[in-house]
Amino acid sequence: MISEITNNLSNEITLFLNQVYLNYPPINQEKIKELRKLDATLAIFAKLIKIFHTEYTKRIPEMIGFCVAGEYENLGQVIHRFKSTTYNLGASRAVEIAKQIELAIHKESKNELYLKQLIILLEQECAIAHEILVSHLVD
Amino acid sequence: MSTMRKILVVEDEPTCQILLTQALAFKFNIELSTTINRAKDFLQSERPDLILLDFYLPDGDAFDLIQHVKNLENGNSIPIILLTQASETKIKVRSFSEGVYDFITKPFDPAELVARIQSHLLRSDEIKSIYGSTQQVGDLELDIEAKKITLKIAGQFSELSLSPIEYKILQCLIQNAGKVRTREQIAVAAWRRQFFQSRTIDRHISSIRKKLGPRAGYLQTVSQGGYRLTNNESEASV
Repeated sequence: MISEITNNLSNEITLFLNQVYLNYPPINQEKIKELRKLDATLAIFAKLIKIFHTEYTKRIPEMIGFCVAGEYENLGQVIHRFKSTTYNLGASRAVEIAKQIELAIHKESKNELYLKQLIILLEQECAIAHEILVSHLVD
Repeated sequence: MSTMRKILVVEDEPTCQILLTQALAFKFNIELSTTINRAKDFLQSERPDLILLDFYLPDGDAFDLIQHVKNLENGNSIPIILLTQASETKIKVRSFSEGVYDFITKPFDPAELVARIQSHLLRSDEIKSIYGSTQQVGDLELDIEAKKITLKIAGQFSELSLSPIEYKILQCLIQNAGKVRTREQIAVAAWRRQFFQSRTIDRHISSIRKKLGPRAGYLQTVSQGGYRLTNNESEASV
């Protein structure tokens, strides 16, 4: 199902993604420096990464569910909250995709396929960001 | 050693909770709440020195809790700082009229967060030290802590039975005793907004006068100005 959705990306999404990939790294390195400084043992940094993983694996299916059910208000609340999570971990591309989802929700005519594609892309970006964050933990 | 000031943090997003606690825990005594209802439970028995509040919470939005705090005894004196995202301009505009003191935009800078909290605590202390707990004008006494206004008649103080709006109007006039308060200033004090109908304020003033009984003359109408509270009843009421 995921490949069905993401293999046929609309021009609108392709353009948007090009902009995001061109202008934003998957992880903001400055943010990582800040997070690593929180404590000498990196325990807090590790805890934040764990929460990030728990959150995106839980929230993405929730978002898909709300999208399919047309419950856009609930989708809006989840994505708004999740945007903070991505900000706090410096997942720059994920932040931009989350913002785009919020914009798409607030449009008068909702495009379910477009929203689903964005949510799947958000999941992919979160997985990449998570890998990078973990690698900084063992540096 | 001075006691740490108590901050009620209302935030449900787990990474924000950690970062806020990390930024504040060394300087303040933090009480963390993840929902509006838990925050209300906490406020039943405790009064924080300041509230740091996220806008969207699982059981409602920040305005619900702000209204609850404003209706608490001494609630008006608790500074509230709202945590918002940069795009939430409409929320910011409404928040000022609801009585929010300030905003912190997410993602927040820990140093700025601490500086803003300290600045609001300082301001709140200054206000308390200026007004003290009680203030007297002639036979009228305002007790901010107890949130009541009493009137001395025949040597006995008795509490005036005022509506919340009447209390706010009379509090504003007592705190500015001897000075003219315009209707706009009274509207801001009572409803935290400048848009009002003159007749509505005049009706409340008339009701307060009735409740002041023999001291109704304290509350004077100033032509084309507004109202003034004074115990010098010889001052011209035009």
